[in-house]
Amino acid sequence: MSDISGTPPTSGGLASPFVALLPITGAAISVFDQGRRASLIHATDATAARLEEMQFDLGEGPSFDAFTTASLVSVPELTATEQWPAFLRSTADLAVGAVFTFPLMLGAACTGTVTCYRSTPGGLDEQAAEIGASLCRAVAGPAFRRAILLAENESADDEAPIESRREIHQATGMVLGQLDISATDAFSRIRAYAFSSGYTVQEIAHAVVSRRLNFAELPE
Amino acid sequence: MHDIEHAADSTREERINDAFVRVAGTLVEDYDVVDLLSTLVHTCTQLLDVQSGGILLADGAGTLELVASTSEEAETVEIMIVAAGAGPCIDSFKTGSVVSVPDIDRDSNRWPRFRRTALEQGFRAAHATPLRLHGAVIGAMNLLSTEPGALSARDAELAQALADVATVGILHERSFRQPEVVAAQLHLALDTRILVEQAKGVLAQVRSCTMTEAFTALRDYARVHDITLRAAAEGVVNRSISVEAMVSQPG
Repeated sequence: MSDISGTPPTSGGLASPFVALLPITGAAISVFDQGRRASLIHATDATAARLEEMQFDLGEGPSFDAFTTASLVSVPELTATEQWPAFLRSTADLAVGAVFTFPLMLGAACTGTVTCYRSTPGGLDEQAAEIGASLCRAVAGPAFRRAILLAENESADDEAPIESRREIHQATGMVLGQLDISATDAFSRIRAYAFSSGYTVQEIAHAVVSRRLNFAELPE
Repeated sequence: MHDIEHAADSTREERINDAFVRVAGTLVEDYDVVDLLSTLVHTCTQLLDVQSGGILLADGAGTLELVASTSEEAETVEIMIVAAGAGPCIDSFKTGSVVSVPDIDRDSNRWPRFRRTALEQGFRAAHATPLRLHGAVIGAMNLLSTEPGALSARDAELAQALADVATVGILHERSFRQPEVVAAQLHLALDTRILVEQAKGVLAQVRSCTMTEAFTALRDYARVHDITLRAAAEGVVNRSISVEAMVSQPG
């Protein structure tokens, strides 16, 4: 059943299907919190975890580019690239030949990234890139629930009430219209406001959808 | 009497045919899964004379998400989602079998929250049918009736046939033997629903309309311009489609 729905086996984590279906060595999934800092939610090995965390510390790397452009960033030969000098220096002692970073999209909003690495250099073909994008859609829902929890500072074991998820997506669209910003920024604004006001993301989304809260009327 | 029943039967058969033909048509042309499933669940409730319906698909963590329903109103969405959390839908998905609740009021111990919400909204019976593919279950179709009573064997069979048609509509027959393609289409359907919700929000804000009106406008725009619902939603969210041009259409 797991092969059909893309459901990860219970023994593995969210990133495991990436390693099973793509020609890569390891993968790590991060979601952004309300302050746009990334938080690692699962890595298949220590190298993948380090690759991902190193970028957060340095503030540069393919994850940031994947997030900004909302598209796959492919680095088939890591040592040959001239981008991200600090990131390259820090990865020199890791057995990493190639890096592929997918944006984790929820509709039009980017909620995080999936960083895949291979120990040897080499590209991803078109089919592998499509499979990767599809796997991202499969984990976007669970990663989204995790992102909401991060905004609320709650235990990761709790699940967000599912009936309010739709309102969060609707509110994202409404805030996008109110402020004329991207879906990614609108989603981030809602989470940041929830965090700073002490309400849950669901409560803020509900207030927006029922037109009791308009982000264009908030004091800066 | 017999004539009237006959007439009703032939109308019903025509509508069943129509539902199958519509789905068959989608297999050869570019179509939108969310749009198709919305139409299909609507047809299904009419044919089976029930008042509300929804189609739910499992995401990568096995949680059911509502992809299509007979109405976009908050109440309908709520009862469908509650049924997916702890209710007949999730049980049907997990067991791969039909879960029938002929009288919600008398079914004492299961799913207290689902029963309370359903009764509050005036529903008395529920019928959940699994969406099955080669022994795997990809989701469930939920039907709710305001009258108590189980579906007849014939109606239950029809519900399963329409659920199978929905599965075909989601997955394209030619991809059945490639698990990764099946998964890709399933996840695209779930993501389309999210995009549609975001686009509804943009429309509701910019045009001061309800979420239901926003959905209708989006669907009409997609049909008039012969693009998928997903493409219309994408255009609204990234502002490449003029929102002003959209809602002013009748419908």
